[in-house]
Amino acid sequence: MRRKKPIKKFSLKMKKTLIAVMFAVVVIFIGLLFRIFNIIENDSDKYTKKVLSQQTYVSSNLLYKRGEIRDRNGTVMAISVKVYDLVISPKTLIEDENNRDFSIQTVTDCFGIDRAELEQIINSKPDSQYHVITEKKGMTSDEISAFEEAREKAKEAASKDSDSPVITGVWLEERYARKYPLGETACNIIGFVDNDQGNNGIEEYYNSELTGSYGREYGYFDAELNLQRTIKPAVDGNNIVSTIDANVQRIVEKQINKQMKDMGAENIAVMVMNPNNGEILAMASDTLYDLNNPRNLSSMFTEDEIEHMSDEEKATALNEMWKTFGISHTYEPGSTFKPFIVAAALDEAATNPNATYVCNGKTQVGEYEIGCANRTVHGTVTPKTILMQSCNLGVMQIAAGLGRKQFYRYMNLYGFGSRTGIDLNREEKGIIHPESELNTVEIATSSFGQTQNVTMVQMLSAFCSLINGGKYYAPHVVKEIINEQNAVVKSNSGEIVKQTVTEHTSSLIREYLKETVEAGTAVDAKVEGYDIGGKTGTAEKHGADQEGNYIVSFIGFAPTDNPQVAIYVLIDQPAVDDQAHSSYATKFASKIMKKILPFLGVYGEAKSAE
Amino acid sequence: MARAVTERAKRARRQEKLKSHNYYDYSLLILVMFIVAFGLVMIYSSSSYTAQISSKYNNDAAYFLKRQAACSIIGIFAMLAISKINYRILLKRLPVIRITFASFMFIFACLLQLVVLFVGVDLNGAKRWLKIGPLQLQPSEITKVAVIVFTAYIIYLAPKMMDTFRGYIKVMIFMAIPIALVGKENMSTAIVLFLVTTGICFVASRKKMFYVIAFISGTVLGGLYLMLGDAFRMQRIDIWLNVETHPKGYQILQGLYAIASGGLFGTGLGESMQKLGFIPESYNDMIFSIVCEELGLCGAIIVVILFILLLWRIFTIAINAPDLYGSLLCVGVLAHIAVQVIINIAVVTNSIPSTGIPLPFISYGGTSVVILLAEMGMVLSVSNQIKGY
Repeated sequence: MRRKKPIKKFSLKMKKTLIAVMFAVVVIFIGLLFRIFNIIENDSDKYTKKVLSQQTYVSSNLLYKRGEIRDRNGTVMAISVKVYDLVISPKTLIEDENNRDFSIQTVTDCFGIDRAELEQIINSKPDSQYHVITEKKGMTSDEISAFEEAREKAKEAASKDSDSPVITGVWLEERYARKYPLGETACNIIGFVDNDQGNNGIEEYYNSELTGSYGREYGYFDAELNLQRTIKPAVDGNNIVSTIDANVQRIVEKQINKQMKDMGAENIAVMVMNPNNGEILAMASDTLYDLNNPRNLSSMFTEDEIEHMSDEEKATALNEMWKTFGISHTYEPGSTFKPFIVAAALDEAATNPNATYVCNGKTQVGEYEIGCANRTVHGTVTPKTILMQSCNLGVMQIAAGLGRKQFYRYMNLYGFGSRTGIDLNREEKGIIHPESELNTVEIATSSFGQTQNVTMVQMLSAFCSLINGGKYYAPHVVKEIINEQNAVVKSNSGEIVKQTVTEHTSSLIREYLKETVEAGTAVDAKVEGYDIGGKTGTAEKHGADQEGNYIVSFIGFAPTDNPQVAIYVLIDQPAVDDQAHSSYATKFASKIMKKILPFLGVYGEAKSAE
Repeated sequence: MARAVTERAKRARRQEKLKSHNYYDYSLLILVMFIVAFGLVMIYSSSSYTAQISSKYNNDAAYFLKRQAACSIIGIFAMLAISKINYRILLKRLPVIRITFASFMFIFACLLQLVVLFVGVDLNGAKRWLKIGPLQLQPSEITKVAVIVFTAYIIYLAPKMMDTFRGYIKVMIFMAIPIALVGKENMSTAIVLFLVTTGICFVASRKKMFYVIAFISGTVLGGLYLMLGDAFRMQRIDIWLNVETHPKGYQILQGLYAIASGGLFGTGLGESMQKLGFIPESYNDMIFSIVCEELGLCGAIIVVILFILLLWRIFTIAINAPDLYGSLLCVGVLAHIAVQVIINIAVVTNSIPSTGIPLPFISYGGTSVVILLAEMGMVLSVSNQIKGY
């Protein structure tokens, strides 16, 4: 029955209406798009700036603390402390008339700034919204407490009485400042920080360990427009324990300083190492600078000189000042090199303790005449007396017996001509003769440490292996990396990289070097009550204007039966008429050892006999 | 013998059925799916920051995306199922209670609306949510479909009645019940309901004059009501006119910042800065401002074109529907989507005073997307009944 009803249809009139409605909808849509276009056209610049400027208001970075650097005994050598900068907004201070007087008064009262001065700053920059008061940068928390109190008080008063003034347009900004409590001590090893980036030394090499990560405070508005905050905390950097002994380092630096004053030299440098694990205990040169003020050149130049420097000259001078002498300066070592040759030859049976050589003062090698110092005739010598007397002719013969191939192999084994891999940047490789160029003359001159360049750290690291039984340890300045909770993250307890010579050869060398100090050329290095071994060096400097210039040095260890400390002392061009005397170095080394050995727990026989 | 005859008759009927039901608006289906997918991308982009930093959302960047995706899948299945059912089932009487399915839906929606006033979950100070076990739904969304279905039904029963003003009033008397119930907690949805109903009536009526008069007098009365009315409504006008200086204009102003900083081509998908905490619940009603910021004016134009295409498909189905009821259903759905898109974009661009209406298919909201997809299923069902294509 229902089927018979005609089907009700959407009439033509309705269709027309719907078309009109559809048309109207499209028109409204286009109108809305036009409205969007209008907003973009008119307000784009203004609103985009707003978007950028409000970004920091809701979300902000949380500071992390850069890790500390401590010496081996826990003495803090570098630390980050929270400091505060005083910032004002002259614009706000000018515009906010109700609070201006109160704010300025509080600032002058709490920080002891002259009111007239402050007002002058405000008036000179009326449009600025951010001005750091230079004199009030880096304040400690004690210095700001009065201001913080005053601000809280004003806020409280304002919450009760809306007419009460509050502090506006003035605030404190937190940051971490890097402090070096020891000043210039160990400056080349520690390094400093520039814009969160370590520069030189441990600060640079271990930058990623010392650096933490910023935290972030996120904010967002909930449906009721309340600002909600969530925090991703900052992670502080790891702390670093150095192998350096700050006391020893300080003594060494003091002695260098004294020596520079008493005698003077182009350079004086000292390195002290533990031969049983490669830890560097002290490394110093005469160039020091205050880590708290690393761009101050006054330790090297007079004020007048600094004033007349160009920027480029200043940069060069700074780089020179920041240089770590012990790893970046290369030079010809001289006779301190002889033990390496003797040890190699003993190891390879190219010589033996009873072998004899004849020295008659000078000899002809190729087209050159080479002689012993002062043309001294040593007569019949053995490996032991060659080292004791520092006989050039003797060591030349031993080296010749070693031959080109073995000579070159040992150069590599000792690590000459390549980096030791010490954990500091800008280490130099030095230069040795390539195997193909190692002819009779080169072998002869190299054997007593001339015509090849080395660094102090190469010499001392290899020397340690000669006296400790042949174990070559990687030299290093960092012992441990520990995290905030004082747990050890990484530790470097001394890695044996290779075996250079045999245990037996090593014991012979120890004996020879002991005799060298007892009755040989290094007799001035003796320290009362200690058994000391070592070798002197007097190297001619080559090159233009270097006539008569020498590097005198001493490389030694103590005690001789069980070496605990190795030391290398180098005086580059002592400021004396006749430079070619290693006694400048041996006497100096003796003074230092006498002071530092007790600190390092090495006690002399005199003490044990008591 | 008799059996063979009935068999043949059955087969013939089946064949006829196949022939006559061969139309299905696939372009509409694909368009809807595309808009839903685009919505999911924008929800992820705008909500991931908020979700990630808040333990309320398990610090899961995809929290909102996952929930919306689940609802979208349910909605798509619902849409496909509904589209295969003949929409005329709405005109059939239900067993036992002997009322039509359309009437039942209407009564059910009104009851649900009444229930939510008493046992609703209070969110942001308004009781709009009904909690059934782990599910939370917004009855006002269900009311929207019920109102479309029922208005179309009344007009279908007596189309001539709509030619007089009294007819419109009669329809509105029925509709006053759900509109009032919804309006108590949610004024914006009530306005949408009112506009959708009026839209259907307007299309169905042969006399337009009184709608024009009603529109003008309504505007005047509404204006007076707002101006003389309570402070809350007056404040909205105040915010609208002084959005930059009014302290409560914050949300709209931040939306404008977003639109303006997007420029012509936007900052790039995922690159919005305003979603980083500045626009509260940017994945909700304000999502279009994030679209503008990230995709620029071009993105906005594309979104609007997508909606125009969608409305165009619904319009075509309405024109070609086999009967008046199908046409009116499509008109209702068309009005619903058009009204929400217009109000949403107008609010985001501060073209009208602020009111909370989600952008169909794109704003976050589970019930909303399921219901909208169900409505699309209804339209597809109408398209499925078109013969001769």
